[in-house]
Amino acid sequence: MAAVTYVTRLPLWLLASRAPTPHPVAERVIEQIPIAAFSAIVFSGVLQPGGSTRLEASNLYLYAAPVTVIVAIVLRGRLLPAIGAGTITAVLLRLLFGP
Amino acid sequence: MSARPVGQARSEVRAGIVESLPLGLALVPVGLAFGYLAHTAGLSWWLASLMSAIVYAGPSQFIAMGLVGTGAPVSAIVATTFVTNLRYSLFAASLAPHMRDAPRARLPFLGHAVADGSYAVTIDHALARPERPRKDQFLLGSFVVSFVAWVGGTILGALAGGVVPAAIAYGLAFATPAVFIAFLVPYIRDCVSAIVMLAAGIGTVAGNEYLPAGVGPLLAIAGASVLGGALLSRPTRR
Repeated sequence: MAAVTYVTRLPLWLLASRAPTPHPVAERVIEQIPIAAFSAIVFSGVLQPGGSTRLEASNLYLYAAPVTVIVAIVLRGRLLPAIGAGTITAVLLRLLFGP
Repeated sequence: MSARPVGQARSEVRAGIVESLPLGLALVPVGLAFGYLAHTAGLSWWLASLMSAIVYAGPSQFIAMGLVGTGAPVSAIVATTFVTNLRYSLFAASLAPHMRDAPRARLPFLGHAVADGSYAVTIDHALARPERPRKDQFLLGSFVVSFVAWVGGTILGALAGGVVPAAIAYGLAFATPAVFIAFLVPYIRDCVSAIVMLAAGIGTVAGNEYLPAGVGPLLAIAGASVLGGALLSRPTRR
């Protein structure tokens, strides 16, 4: 597992040390990777907690996520308040409405 | 080497550590959850910690534990790990242009530092402050925090994960999406970034539902990035 995972990380070494500046179109594609990567983690983390899709009222992450988004918008660029607000909301909702 | 570059390099390590502290706080509960899961799957605490240290790839470790539970063969676990972690190639490709001033000898080691959290903090830093040198040092600082949090969380979880109340564990598990929401929000500035976000997010959810483990996020991230790049490369109308 460690070896195959390391292989997936090798492009950092190969591209940073050898590759020429990429074509402008490739550069624009690479620029989109952070947005796409963050979105992939957020959507699956909120909509598929535990691995299966849960678009239902009992998925409390669906309520904690908008709280996190609002705090992230208001306090642009500050991680800790957004993480804290989202996590505390999820804990409180579970305590109030959880099984 | 003169004193100034050494000082700059050290300050970048420090910046990487400081800017990654919120991420580290968020990683501890996830490591805790993994340690507990590994413990319940029959792994000793030191084996679970070793796995976290040398694989250092949370999502694939959770999937591997699930496969261990179903009695899947080693070859299936290794193949699934590879596919699940292929997204790191995309992350590495996106970080590479910012690492051109890094000493070549360091890059093979730094490859191990490319994981979801450290990638997010480092690319955010690189895009926000392109004038700062030695992003490799920043990545190193971020790696130190993430590694300690992830492996430390795993050890705690394997030894004492069962004592965390369910409500707290449920809330703490939301820390990972919360971290990435906080990173994502400032990037959604226009129509193209919103389209990329929706394409990657919906594609990942659909892929997770209908494709083998790890394939969905990989295709969704690659596809959404190409879509965004293509939209930005359209000739503008006059």
